[in-house]
Amino acid sequence: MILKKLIPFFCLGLLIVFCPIYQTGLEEKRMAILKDSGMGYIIPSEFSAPASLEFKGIISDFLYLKMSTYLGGKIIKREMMDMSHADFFYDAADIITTLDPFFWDAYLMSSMVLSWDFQRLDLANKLLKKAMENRTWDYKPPYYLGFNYHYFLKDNANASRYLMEAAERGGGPSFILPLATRLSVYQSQLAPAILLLEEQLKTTRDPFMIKHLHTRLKAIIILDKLEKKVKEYKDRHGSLPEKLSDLKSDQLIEDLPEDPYGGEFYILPNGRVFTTSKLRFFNPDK
Amino acid sequence: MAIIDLNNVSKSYVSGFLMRKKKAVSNISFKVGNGEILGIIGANGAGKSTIIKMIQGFIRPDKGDILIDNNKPFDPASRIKMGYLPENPYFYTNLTAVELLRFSTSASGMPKQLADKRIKTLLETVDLYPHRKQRLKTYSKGMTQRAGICFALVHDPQVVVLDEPMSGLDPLGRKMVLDLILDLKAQGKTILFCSHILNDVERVCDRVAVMDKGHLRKVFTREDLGNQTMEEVFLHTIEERSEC
Amino acid sequence: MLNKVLSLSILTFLEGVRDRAIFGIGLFALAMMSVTLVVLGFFMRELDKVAVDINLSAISLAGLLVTFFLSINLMAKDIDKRTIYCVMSKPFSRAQYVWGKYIGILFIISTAFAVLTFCSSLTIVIAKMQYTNWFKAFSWIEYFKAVYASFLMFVVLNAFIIFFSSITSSSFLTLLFSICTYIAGQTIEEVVIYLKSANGQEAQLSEFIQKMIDILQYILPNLSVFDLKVQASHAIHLPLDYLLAITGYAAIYSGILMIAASLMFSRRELP
Repeated sequence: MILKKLIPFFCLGLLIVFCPIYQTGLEEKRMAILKDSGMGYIIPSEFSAPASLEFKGIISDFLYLKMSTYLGGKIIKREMMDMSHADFFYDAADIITTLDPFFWDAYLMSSMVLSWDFQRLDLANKLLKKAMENRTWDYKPPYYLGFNYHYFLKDNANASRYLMEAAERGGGPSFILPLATRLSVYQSQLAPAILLLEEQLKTTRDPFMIKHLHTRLKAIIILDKLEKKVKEYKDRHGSLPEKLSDLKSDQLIEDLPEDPYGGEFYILPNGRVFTTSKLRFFNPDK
Repeated sequence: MAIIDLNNVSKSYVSGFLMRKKKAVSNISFKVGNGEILGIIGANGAGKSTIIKMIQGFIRPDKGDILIDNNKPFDPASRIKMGYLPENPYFYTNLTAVELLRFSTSASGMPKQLADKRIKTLLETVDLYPHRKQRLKTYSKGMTQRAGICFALVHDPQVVVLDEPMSGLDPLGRKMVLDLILDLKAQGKTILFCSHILNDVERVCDRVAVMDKGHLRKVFTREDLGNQTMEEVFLHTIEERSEC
Repeated sequence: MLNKVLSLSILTFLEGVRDRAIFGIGLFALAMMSVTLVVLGFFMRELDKVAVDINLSAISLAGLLVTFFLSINLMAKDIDKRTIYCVMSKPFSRAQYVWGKYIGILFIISTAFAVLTFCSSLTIVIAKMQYTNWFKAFSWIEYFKAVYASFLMFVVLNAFIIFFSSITSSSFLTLLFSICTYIAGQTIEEVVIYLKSANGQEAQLSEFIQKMIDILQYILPNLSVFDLKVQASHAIHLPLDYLLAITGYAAIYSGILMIAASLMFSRRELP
C-alpha cells in the first residue's frame, strides 16, 4: 500500500533528475540548428516598415542590436565571413534605416564593416549617401563619405567635395576644412585615417568596439611610421629597401613591429607599406 | 389619469441570418393609473420583459403608442420620475453600492444633501448599509438584487417598474421587498411589476394582467377574484385560450 | 445636461480604472521602461534615441492595451452584458450615453498617459544621469510633443471604438473592427507613398485597386500623422503649427465619429 503511494513521488524524482540531462542534449541539437541557419532571414523593407506600425523606432533598435551582436560574435570568435555577409549587412542596415532614417549608429556600423572589412565601398557609400540625405544637419555622413573616397577609392575630387559639404554643415572637428582643401597633400599619407579613427574612438562607448578601433588605429600608426622610415631610407640610399628588416639593419627602427592583426608587413613597389593581414582578422575574399 | 398608457402595441424581433421575424407581443393595450399597482403575470417567454423594455425605451414598438406621463419612452424626460429594476440586475461590478446610488441621484438631478440622506436610509432598509463600501462584485445574488432595488428607488421616483423583483431572494429578503412595495403604495406611487411568483402578485397588486404567448389575455382586479386563488384564475385563463 | 454626461463619465472612469487589467498593463509598461536602463548598455552612441524609442513605445503599447481591453469592455460589453440597462433606465438620451462613455474613456486614457509619462520621464532622468555624455541631443520638449501626439491618436482610436460599439451587436466585432482600423490607419500612408514612388509604379496595380486605395485614403484615418516617435528620439524640431494641425485633425475626425455614433445609437434597439 505504502509502495503504491510512493510511485508518483518516485516518477517525479526520476523526471526531475532526467530533465536537465535531457535539456543539455536538446540545447546541443538546438545550437546545431541555429548554426546551420547562418545569418537568418531578412524581411524586405516594403513589408517590414508598414508591418512595424508605430513601433518603427523600437524595432529598428532591436534589429540593430541583433545585427551588432551577430557581427560582434563573428569577430570575437574570429569566424570566417564570406562576401555574402556583405550583402547581409547592407540589407539589414537598409531595413533598419528605412524604419528609422535618422539612426546614425546603424549607418556607421554597417558602412564601417562594409568599407574596412569587406572593401565593398559601393555598398558602404550607398548607405552613407542615404544617411546624408536624411541627416541633413549632420556633418558626419559627408565626412565619412569623403574619407572613403579619399582613403579607399583614391578619388580626391569627390572626397574633397564631400569634405567641403561636411565642413559647411558645421559642428564637426576643425580639421575638416583644411583637410578638404589640402587633400592632395595627404595623397600618400595615412594621416586622415588616423584622424578619423581618433575621432571615432572619442565618440564610442561600447568597450568591444573601442578595442576593435584601437587595434585598427594601432596598426595604421605602425604603417604610417614604417612608411616614413621607408622614405627616410630611400632618401639615404636612393632606392627602396628590399625588406623591412633592412630598416632595422640601417638602425632606422629598433625592432620589426608586430601586426596587431597577426599578419606580416611588407613593402609595396611604390614605397608604401602594407600587411598580409590586410588589416582584418579574416579574409572575406576566400 | 393614466401614468402608463399602452395602446395597441406590437413588437417582433428579427433574428438569425435569415432575418426571420418572431412576434414577441401583439396588440397590447392597458393603462396604469396614478397610485395603482399593476402586476403582469405569465409564463416565461410570454412577453412580459418585452413590454417593460418598451416602456423603458430600450426597444421601440413596431406598431402602437406608449405614453409615460404623456411622454414617449424614447424621450429621456419619461424616465426622470421612473425607477427600474432589471430582471437580472448586472451592475458595474467595480463600483461600490454608494457610488452606484450616487450616480442614480445625480443623473436625476437630486440635490446632494438630500441624496446622501436617502442613500443612507435606503441602504439601511435593505440591510446593505454595512456593506456600502464594498465593490458590487463581492455581493451575493440576493445582495445584488437588493442593491438593484435601491438603485431603482433612490431618486424617489413617482413610477416604479420592477422586473422579477423577488428572484434570487431568500424568504427574509422577499418579505423585505414586499414591505417596500407596500410602503411605496402607501406613499401613492405607481408600480408596474412582473413576476411569475403568483403569491406575491396576489398580495400587493390592485390589478393583474395575464399574458400568454405575446397576447394580453385578461385583466382583472382583486375583487374579480372572488374566492378563487390567483393560480386558479391564471391557469384557467390560459387553458381557456389554448382551447379556442 | 452636461452634469449628466459628466456623472456617467465619472461612473465609466471609476469602473474602468478599478479593472484588474489596468494594473497588469501598468506593470507591463513599467517593466518595459525599466528594461531601458539595462538595454542601453548594449548600444554604441545614440543612447538617447534608444531610451526615447523604448519609453514612447511602452506608452503607446500600454495605450493600445488599455484601448483594446478596457475601452471595449466599457462600451461594447456594456451593451453585450445588458449593464447598459442600469444607465439607460435613468433619464439619459442615447447621445448623452455615447458622449458620457467617450469622455469617461478619455479620462482613463488621460490618467494612464499621465502616470506613464511621469514614469517614463523618471526612467529617462535616471538613464541620463547614468550616461550623461550620450544624451546630448535629447530634448524634453520634443519628447512631450510626441507623447501629446500619441495621446491624440488614442482620442481618435477610442472614438472609433465608440462608433463601432454603437453599430455592431457584439464586443468581439467591435474589437476586430477597431484593430483593423488601427492597423490600416497606421499603414495607409506608407502604402500610398510607396505606390507613388518609382518602385510602386512598377508594381502595376489594376485600376480598380488604385481607385480603392484612393478612396480608402480619404475614409481611413491617417494615424501615422500622430506618430512622432522617430522625430522625438532624434530631437528633430517639430513646428508648433504641425501640432495644431494634428490636433485639429483629431478633433474633426473624432467629432465626425461621435456624431455618427450618437445618430446610429439613437436608432438602435437594446433587446
